Amino acid sequence: MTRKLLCLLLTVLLVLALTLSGCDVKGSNQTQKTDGTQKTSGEEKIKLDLWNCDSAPMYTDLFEEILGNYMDENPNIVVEYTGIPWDTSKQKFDTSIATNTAPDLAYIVHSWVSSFAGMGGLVPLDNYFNNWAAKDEYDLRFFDLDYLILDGVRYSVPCEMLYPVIWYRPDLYAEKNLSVPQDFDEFFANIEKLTDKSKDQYGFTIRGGGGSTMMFEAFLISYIGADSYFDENGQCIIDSPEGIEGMKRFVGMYNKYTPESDITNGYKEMVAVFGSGTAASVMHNLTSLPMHKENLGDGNFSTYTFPKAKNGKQVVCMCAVAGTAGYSIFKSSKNPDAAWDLIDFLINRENNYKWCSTLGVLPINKGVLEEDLFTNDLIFRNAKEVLENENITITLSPLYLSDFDAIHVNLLEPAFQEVLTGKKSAEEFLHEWAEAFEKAEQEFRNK
Amino acid sequence: MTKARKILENIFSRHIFLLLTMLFVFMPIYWALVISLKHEKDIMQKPVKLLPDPATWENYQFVWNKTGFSKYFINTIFVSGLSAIVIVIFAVLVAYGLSRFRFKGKKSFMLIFLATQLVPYNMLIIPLFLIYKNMGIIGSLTTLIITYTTVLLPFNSVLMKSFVDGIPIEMEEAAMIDGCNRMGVIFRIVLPILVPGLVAIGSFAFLSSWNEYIFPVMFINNKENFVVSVGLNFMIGQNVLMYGPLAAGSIIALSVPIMIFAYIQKFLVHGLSAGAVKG
Repeated sequence: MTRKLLCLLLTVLLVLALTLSGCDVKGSNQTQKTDGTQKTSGEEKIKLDLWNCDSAPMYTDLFEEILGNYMDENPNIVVEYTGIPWDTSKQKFDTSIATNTAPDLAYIVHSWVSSFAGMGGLVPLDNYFNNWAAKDEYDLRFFDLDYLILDGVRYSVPCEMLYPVIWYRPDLYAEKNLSVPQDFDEFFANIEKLTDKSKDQYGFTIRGGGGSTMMFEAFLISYIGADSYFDENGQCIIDSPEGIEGMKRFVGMYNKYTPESDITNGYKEMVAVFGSGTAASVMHNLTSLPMHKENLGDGNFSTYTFPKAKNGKQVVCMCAVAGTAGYSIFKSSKNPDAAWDLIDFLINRENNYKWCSTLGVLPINKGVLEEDLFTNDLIFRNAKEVLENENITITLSPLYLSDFDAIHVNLLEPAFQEVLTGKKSAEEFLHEWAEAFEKAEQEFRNK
Repeated sequence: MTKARKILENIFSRHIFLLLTMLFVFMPIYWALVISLKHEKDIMQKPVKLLPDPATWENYQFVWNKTGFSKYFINTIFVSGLSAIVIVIFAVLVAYGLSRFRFKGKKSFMLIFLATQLVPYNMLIIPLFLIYKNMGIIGSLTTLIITYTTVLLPFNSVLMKSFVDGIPIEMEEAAMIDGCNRMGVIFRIVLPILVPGLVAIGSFAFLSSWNEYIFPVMFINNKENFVVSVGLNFMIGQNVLMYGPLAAGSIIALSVPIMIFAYIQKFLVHGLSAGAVKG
């Protein structure tokens, strides 16, 4: 018995020792060097780590194809792609910056740029951008946004842009003889008419869980008809009388014209409510296109842009969940030049088309916007028309505020649920929001 | 009348509650199984179908072949298995020491030992990350084995101490009178009696390692080394949720813990209850 146990113990210890010394990530024919190069079978190659803030399989397929082509064209470069699960993505990036183990470059949502730049984690891209030969091929409106250039330093370049839309069911609208609303009174009236609680049919679905206030912010700015978040005195316009009215009307829909379960709905649940036919309309950006296609089938849904506000302005708000996303190079990169070269490849005309057509986002390459898909497909055509319509104002969310994410996640999202359940008034909620933004704006201006 | 009432009472007090509890526990698993066998287009379909019709294996094939689950599955078995073995070995030795020897600061040691369990995992991430980075092992499965052993050992050692306390010391003394040394006593006398405890602690350590998410997602940067808990989250993107593959992945991830429980449940219940009352 003792001998058997001793044998078992020794075997375990042997396995443990072998494991601890040998189960490292690299294969035996590769050696990783601290200067960011990798020796493979005698030939030294530049190794680039590319992270994606979202690990969904559709990104993996896309990146594998594009990066495969890049490595074929550049045999001296090895790109290692890693998708990070979305729910812990920000924490993972924060940790990697704090421990100087960030990748060479990453695809990130742009609401994170100010936070990463504030931590000193990003490489300024001005030199690369100013000497970039292909610059004229791009819609530079989306390169010069105030949350990409902080204190005069450019930290990220976009590869896509988005704005919020209302997804709706034309068949249900037609049944009730309704048309696309031209103002917010019609918007709310339509939702009321499309609701029949006895049949579990609702006119709208609200995002009450994760990401709720970032989405609601887009609605509120359109409802107010604001072209800026702050007036000339630095006061935030969120809690203006129009804002309070808009919020009361929006929140008033909850559990009346929307399902009761909306209070905890994140993105997935919200899209599922629309996809199952329970709600006739939902507010989101274009990236939910593949999900709607899968749930409802092509041609059974469409989009419209937020209608005109009472002041006569039609405003589209590019916010944290419906703005730009793109690439940044990290300070810990040993090969920032190669990383920039890869970014240039990732967003060139051919790859930007692949990217946008697969993911359902709008391109930043001007040539891609002229492709058939963006001219003929109904959803993309609607989106393109907004970009080209001079009567529509595009208002930018203040993503340059380093506390922008924290204000939404820690302060506003829990409070929004309290407003939905009637525990907190719209006035109180909006005043707290405005105060938090004003304080953050003041800190930003005083820097 | 009295007999009928007795039968009714019996059914009500035993079977109804058992059935309701079973329904409550198995409903989510049943639903995940049904979704995993449905075509993606059928998952959102109304009216909701309680059975997959037509059933498909495509979600399992997608998860296993396309998302790298086959690799993650092996990684998880390797990490959880090795962590559990190491934890059991150390827990037996620590528990024996705590149970059988008197030494200065024993109570403080126990207190500090247990206090480590109150530290949230999130607080450990950056310090551990820096240690592993300096050791040059960041990104490898070794980091997970070391971390799980470290964070799970204190609780499991204290739990094991309860089992060791339950073994009469006279048996060891008798063996020593017969010429057995201390290690001989541990291997010949204590370990055979401790089997239920070893199984209980081994399975507890295995399952805790199996389900852990935050350490692998933080320490592992190479997709070849990801584990099942991270792989499941690949199906949940910012703007996409793959219900079918997610449900299939969950069922695959659940299969190992279920098989382990089915095999060891007798040891586990006996072991934990024995440990709980003797202390």
